[in-house]
Amino acid sequence: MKYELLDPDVRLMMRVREGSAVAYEQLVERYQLRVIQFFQNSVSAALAEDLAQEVFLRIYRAREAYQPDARFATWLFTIAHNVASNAIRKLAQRKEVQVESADSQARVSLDALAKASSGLMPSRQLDRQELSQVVKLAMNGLNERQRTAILLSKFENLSYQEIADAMGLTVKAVKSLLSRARLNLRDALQPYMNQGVNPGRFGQSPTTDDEDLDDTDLSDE
Amino acid sequence: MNEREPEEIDVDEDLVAYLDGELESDRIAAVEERLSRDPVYRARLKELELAWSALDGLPTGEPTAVFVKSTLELVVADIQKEQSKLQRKTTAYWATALALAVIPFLCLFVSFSVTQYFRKAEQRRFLRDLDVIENFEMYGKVDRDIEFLEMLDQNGLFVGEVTNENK
Repeated sequence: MKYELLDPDVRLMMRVREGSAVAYEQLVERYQLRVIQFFQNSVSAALAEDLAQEVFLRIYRAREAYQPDARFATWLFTIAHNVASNAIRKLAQRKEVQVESADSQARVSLDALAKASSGLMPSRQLDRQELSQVVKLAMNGLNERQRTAILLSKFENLSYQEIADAMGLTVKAVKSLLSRARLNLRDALQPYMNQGVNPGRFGQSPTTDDEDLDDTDLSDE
Repeated sequence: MNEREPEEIDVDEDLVAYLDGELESDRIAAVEERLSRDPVYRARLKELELAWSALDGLPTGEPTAVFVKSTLELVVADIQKEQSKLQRKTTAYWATALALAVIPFLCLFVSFSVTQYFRKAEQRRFLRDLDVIENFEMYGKVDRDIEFLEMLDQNGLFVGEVTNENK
């Protein structure tokens, strides 16, 4: 009853349970971008739409048994996490993507990119696309669970408890997982912070002067 | 990645939880007190915040214009598949029910027919042997064996009744 009152998406899903195609369409429209982006960043851009459709199909199939005992997003991303895990496992089995080596390749690429940009052209500013690539590489350097926890926390604003429910972990495990993930992310982006590049500018248009850079000493050396 | 001491791990976990608003209330004061006096600790917090905000730069793809439409079509196809599966199941169910209802009657009919057949066979044999049975005493006086009598029968010599005049 609590989630029915607090979460409008739960109410929509209950209408889907009663057979409303319109309510289902609304849910798909509301969540399509978030679910696709989740798979783009946790599995692969090429498979993101297919995997997202798999999630929405599973939601429809489960409609009759749906119980509003959590926020709708928590339930949806529980399904998404399962779909992502299965996809990553299948990809690894088919050897289409060497998952472990992709992580280490990402770290090597990130290091190379950092050295190249700092060594060759120290004052060169990374453009938006490069910054985006840097962050993407940093994320790819995390393992699957760390990536998932980060995406659910950052983009879906799920609480630790909700992330725990979605991933089948304890809250303590989520706290530890997120801590390691964020520290790994910080370590991966450290070279850019050391250059004085403000990663907070990522996602913004690059500027030609340094007025918006943070003057705080970011290095802990 | 760098190896960290256990105490350092706890400190980092507390910092991350603090940033996420998930730190236990009894530990918040300790974290805030340390932040206020320790510049290195403050710098660590800042780095974590910056790395976190960097995620806003992740590539964001847009779904194709037909994503919703194709998802709905997928659902419709799934429903149709479910319905035809249900229909096949229903047909199989009724076929099985009908078979189960008919089989006992079929068995009864077959057993009745077989019983009738053997009963009639017995009756036919009885009718065939009726002449012999009726005149059994007389045939018993014939000073020949059964093969002789069978030969006479095969030649059609046992025709009609044997009367007392013929004794």
